[in-house]
Amino acid sequence: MIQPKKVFRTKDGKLGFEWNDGTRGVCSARELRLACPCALCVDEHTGEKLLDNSAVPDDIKLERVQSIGRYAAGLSFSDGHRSGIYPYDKLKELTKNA
Amino acid sequence: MQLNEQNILSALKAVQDPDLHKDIVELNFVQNLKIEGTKVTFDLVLTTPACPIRDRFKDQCISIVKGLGASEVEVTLTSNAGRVGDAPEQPQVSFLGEVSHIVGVASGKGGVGKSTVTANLAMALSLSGARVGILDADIYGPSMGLMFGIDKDPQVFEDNTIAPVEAKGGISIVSMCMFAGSEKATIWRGPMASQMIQHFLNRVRWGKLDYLLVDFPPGTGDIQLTLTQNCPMAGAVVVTTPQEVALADCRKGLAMFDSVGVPVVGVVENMSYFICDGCGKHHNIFRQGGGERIAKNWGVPLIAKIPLEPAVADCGDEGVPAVLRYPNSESAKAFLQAADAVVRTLSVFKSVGDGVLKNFNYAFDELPEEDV
Ligand SMILES: Nc1ncnc2c1ncn2[C@@H]1O[C@H](COP(=O)(O)OP(=O)(O)OP(=O)(O)O)[C@@H](O)[C@H]1O
Ligand SMILES: [Mg+2]
Ligand SMILES: [Zn+2]
Ligand SMILES: [Zn+2]
Repeated sequence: MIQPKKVFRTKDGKLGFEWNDGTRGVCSARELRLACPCALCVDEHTGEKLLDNSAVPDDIKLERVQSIGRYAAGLSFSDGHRSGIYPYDKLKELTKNA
Repeated sequence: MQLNEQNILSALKAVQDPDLHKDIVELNFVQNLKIEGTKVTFDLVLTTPACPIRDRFKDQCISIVKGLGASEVEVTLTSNAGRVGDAPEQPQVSFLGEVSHIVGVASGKGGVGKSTVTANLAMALSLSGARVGILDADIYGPSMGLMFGIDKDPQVFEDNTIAPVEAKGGISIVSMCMFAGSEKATIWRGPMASQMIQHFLNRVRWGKLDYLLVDFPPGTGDIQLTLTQNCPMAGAVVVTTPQEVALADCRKGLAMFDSVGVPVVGVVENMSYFICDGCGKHHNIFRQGGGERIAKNWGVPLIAKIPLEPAVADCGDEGVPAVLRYPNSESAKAFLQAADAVVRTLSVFKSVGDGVLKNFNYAFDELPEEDV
């Protein structure tokens, strides 16, 4: 079961995790925002992406990072979007290529 | 006005706790209420022995109950943390310490099969060699009596503690349905659900158990919250059906456990598909994939999909869980799989316990700055 041991940020505003398997990784706020899996951004039934990438500001920032149960984190962004729940395995994937 | 439990409790609702913004009855402070003629005694169980306004509470209570016609009113101040004041000793007991893992089985929505899942999970765990108990916390709609065909009263001891009834598969069960006909068990027939829950949690001599499953009442209200807050749960199983309405309630169930920091072992999707008596084929009667969607959205594992099988319902009515009666049925296999996932996940929770972040809520700007 993949679990975070530490949450950090980098100088250039990326979100970083240290995982319980010893690996670390970071991801930019914009990339995380574009990958939001919530029902507003992705059609729940078809899986089709509803979010228009060009509508996401280039300089979007993260505001909060919060645990949701034992398997996921919720992210709040500076564009007011806060409905995304990111399972840790997805976050690990997203932060893999630092 | 007549002096009875109901009148006294409703009059005592006038006493408010200024910090908690609730009345003392709602807060379950009033316990062990006894009425003998015109003499009334009860305990005020406060959250802290050092409650600064405890004497005011006591005075208010006494004058209210006297106002109802009592000649003598005795209020004993106690707290969850121990007795306060100079009242005589009375043991405050809880036997949950002897239970290795307490597991809640809940759902936001009623009728999705919580009790069926609880009964079968318990039986599956027991068949694997574990010592298992079931606390049927559904005060108003207990099911375990029927599901296990129990026709015994529990043993009631001098100090008002009870022993659970041993049912099929050696499973120790306590359920509201056991008290209906029992003369001795007066404190076990109190009118208030929240008080009953406290008795269930504190006064049952479970003995050594590996797993105690708690069958939740439907919904995510006060009683459910009381349970999660007063019972040290190792994990929870959330039951849903594949329909859209059930999924919304399933999210509420997940959020409830999340809010009190109880880790969810996984979601069980019940009535996933129908195994037809007539043709033996699988028919999908509900929209498919609901459980998968919840699991994917929340990152919570989907630990089993239980088919809708007439045999499962019959077993409920006959008092023998399907896992025992039809061990080769598809449902039984799914229940065994769920039980297996519970066992493994609880041990994973234990082993990853050290050094991982469980509950956090950070402002991004306040995170420590580091390099990759
Ligand atoms: N997989 C199944 N196949 C067939 N019948 C089932 C199945 N699961 C549950 N049932 C039946 O559905 C009914 C409701 O199940 P159950 O009492 O377990 O639900 P519940 O969620 O505990 O309900 P409540 O909210 O009232 O406590 C029962 O009659 C039960 O036998
Ligand atoms: Mg039930
Ligand atoms: Zn989104
Ligand atoms: Zn058919």
